[in-house]
Amino acid sequence: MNGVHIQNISKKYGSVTALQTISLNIGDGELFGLIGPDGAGKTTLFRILTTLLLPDSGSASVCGLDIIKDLKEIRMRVGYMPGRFSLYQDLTVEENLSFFASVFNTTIADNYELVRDIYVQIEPFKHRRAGKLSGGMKQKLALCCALIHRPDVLFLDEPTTGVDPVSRVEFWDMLDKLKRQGITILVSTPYMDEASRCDRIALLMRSGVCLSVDTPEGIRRSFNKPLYAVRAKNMYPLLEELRNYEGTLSCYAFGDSHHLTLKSYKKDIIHLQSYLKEKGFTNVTIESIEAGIEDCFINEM
Amino acid sequence: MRQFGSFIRKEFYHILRDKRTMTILLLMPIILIILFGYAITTEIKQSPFVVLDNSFDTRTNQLIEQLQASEYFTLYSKVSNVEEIENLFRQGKIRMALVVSPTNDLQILADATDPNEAAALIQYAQAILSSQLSTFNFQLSTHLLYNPQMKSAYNFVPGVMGLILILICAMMTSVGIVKEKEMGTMEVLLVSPMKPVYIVLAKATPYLLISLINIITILLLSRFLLEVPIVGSIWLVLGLSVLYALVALSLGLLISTITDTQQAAMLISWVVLMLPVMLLSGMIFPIENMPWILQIISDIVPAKWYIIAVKDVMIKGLGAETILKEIGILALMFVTLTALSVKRFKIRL
Amino acid sequence: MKNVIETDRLTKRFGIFTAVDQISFEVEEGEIFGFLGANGAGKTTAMRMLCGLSVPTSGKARVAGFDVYKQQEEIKKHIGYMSQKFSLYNDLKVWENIRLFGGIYGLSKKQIAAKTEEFLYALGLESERDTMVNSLPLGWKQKLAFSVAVIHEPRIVFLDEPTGGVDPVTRRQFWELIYQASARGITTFVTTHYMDEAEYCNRVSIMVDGRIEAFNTPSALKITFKANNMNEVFHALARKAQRIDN
Repeated sequence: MNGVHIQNISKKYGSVTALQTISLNIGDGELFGLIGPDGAGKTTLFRILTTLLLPDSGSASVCGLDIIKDLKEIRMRVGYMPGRFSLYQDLTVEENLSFFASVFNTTIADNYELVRDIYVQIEPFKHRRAGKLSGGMKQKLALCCALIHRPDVLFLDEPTTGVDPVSRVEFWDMLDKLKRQGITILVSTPYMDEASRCDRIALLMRSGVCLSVDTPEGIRRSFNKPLYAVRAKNMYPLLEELRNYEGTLSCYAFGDSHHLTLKSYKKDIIHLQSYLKEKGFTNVTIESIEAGIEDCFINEM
Repeated sequence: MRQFGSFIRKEFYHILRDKRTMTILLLMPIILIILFGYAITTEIKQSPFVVLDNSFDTRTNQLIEQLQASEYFTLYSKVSNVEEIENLFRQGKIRMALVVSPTNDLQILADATDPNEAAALIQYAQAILSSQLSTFNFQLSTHLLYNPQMKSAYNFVPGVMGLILILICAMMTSVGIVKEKEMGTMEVLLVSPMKPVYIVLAKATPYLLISLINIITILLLSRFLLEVPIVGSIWLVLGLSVLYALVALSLGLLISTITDTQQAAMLISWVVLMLPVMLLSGMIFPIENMPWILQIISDIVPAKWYIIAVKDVMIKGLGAETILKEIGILALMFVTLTALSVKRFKIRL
Repeated sequence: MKNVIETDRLTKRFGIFTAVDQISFEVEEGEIFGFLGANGAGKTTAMRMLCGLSVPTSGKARVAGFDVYKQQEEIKKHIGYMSQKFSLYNDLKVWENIRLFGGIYGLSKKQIAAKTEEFLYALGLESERDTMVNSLPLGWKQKLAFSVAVIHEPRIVFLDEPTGGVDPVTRRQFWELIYQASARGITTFVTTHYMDEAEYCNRVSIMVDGRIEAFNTPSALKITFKANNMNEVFHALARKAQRIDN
């Protein structure tokens, strides 16, 4: 009922391809993530789904309404938070919220229940101008503004970009609560670690190519090679040496370890260990690990 | 309706909180009036004049020579009757006339439609001829046509009103709308049930109000500081101003539909609106003296019609029935521009 | 090891609000230093003071040996800066940006020409020489911006969230550029919201409510906070924040 169905949507800006025949089906009440870097067409897709842009080809529906024909009805039923938190910098927190409420013909009081959990965090600052809020606070206010009319489907375009890790976790906790209220949520993010908070995700690449769609668990399981985390005392030389190693298929830095895949498996590990020792690395540990979303993304790129 | 009300309230917040812009908007008419009233004068070079000599005295020729010798005047021709002078003034061929009566009275005539210029011409002529006048004992009387009290304010007050209204209604409205596009808030507004026409109306309302305040400021200043009486109906002047403001608002709206940045909106407002108002409305340069191509262009400058109508009502004291043509043209412009911009206003990005 | 940044009780107040509250730390030459903290913790204000863009309220600080009160112009000559928001001119071509910034930092024509070739080759942008920066993917843009920020071989380069929104592969390539600069002796002072990137730093500091609450190598911090990774360290600290906003 409140799902989103996208069929073969393509969009170009001049010679630049933003989306390439994207098809997605997002169910009623699902929390769906579009994961991909800047330039993967996430914003374009949101604008098409919120009726702000017309696709070059393909069709899509939101809540069963056609994005081209049923423009007005869709606009009544969706909430949209664009990438740059679109608030009026010279209006206070409260003025922003009450303005957006009245735009949708409602009031803060009418829908206070829905936004309460979020709004109480910024309510102490309700007389402060939005322009004077920090990133995390602006983000919460923008979410309140997008929710104040009780939308059936919520579109959040990179709500956590530039927001610190703690605020990001809090933000996703809020999305969980909204999901439990039955709101369908489509959210995009460049942070791979946020993928696991979604019911399902689509991995998008530059030029709007969809790499895969699945549950985060499903995507992780599809990583079909053994993956190793390698650590040693000198991490950067280790990375270079691992890349030089003849048995290496790929090697990327992942925080405190390097994630390594090999051309052929098991027997090479012992060989690698002695190779690294020979090269003078100390405290070498090699450990078999499960792939994360980021591993899968890099692997598919 | 509550939607609309709160939108207008928001617009007022934007304007009231931007103290600097607000101050400029309210002070501008005062500064312009003072600037035009006291500071700006016109320079005179090579002004053509005619002579009507009824005395048949050779000394008249010496007067002519004296004037010719200066860089300010050139003789256009000698004439034989007053009607001829009148005609030449009307055609804009001459700017001054010397009339010597059979009783050896010297009269200097100037066209005071542009009072600054007329006053300067007469001053210059008197200065040049002063030595002659004492020698020849002529009696001097000056006479100004059309604007006997010689108030330049008669000319520029309507002009300043035309300028201010365009500036505030068109420029500020277009910048205001484009700012929402730039900030990304337009995206959110579009994805809401708010009708685009409300967005536009709400943007325009506060500026309409501010410009009315400005018109009243200008009228008060011109009445009590420059002592220009408002001869005709004040309500008619205000009504005309509202109509003209609506034209300006629709122009601003049109500009906002074709630009994406505040800078571009500002620049286009300047080039397309401000400059024509200053140069082609008859405010500074008389339209009659322009090349025909510019005269035609001046017909599509709304300010021209507004200034004509306001002069007729304010200074000549004429009623609505005499300015029906101007009202009609302005109304037509408003309808056309509004229709065009509503059609162009994108409901998508 | 020589210190290229030294601060002593550096403080910045705005009215009654203390944005940066007596921070004291030092950064060693060639070090990759991670400057972490939640939004509103005071990172940007501190960075602005160190870059000579804002005068401290009290305390001392020297950057590249110059005093932040009196020698701001000298500081600016010896540092490079890039941020996520502004790095290059979008409406200039790739080579025009390089020429512009080379010119700003006083490089000769010959040096600029050599640097241009060097960058284009190192970043694989040879075919994009005449491309408008506007149409480069963000990741490429940021790598180019970093190269341009160190075009004059500064003592220190300040990076303000340089990798936000960049794809995972390019993000890693970006960090390799940092390692290379570090190997040349350029000190890197970087803020990031990616906690895996915090692990790549030699040392990190974590700011909470305007104060530096932790300052050490990532491995030492993980031991102190009994955490598995820097993400847990960050959460343990940042959750203590009292002030929600600046």
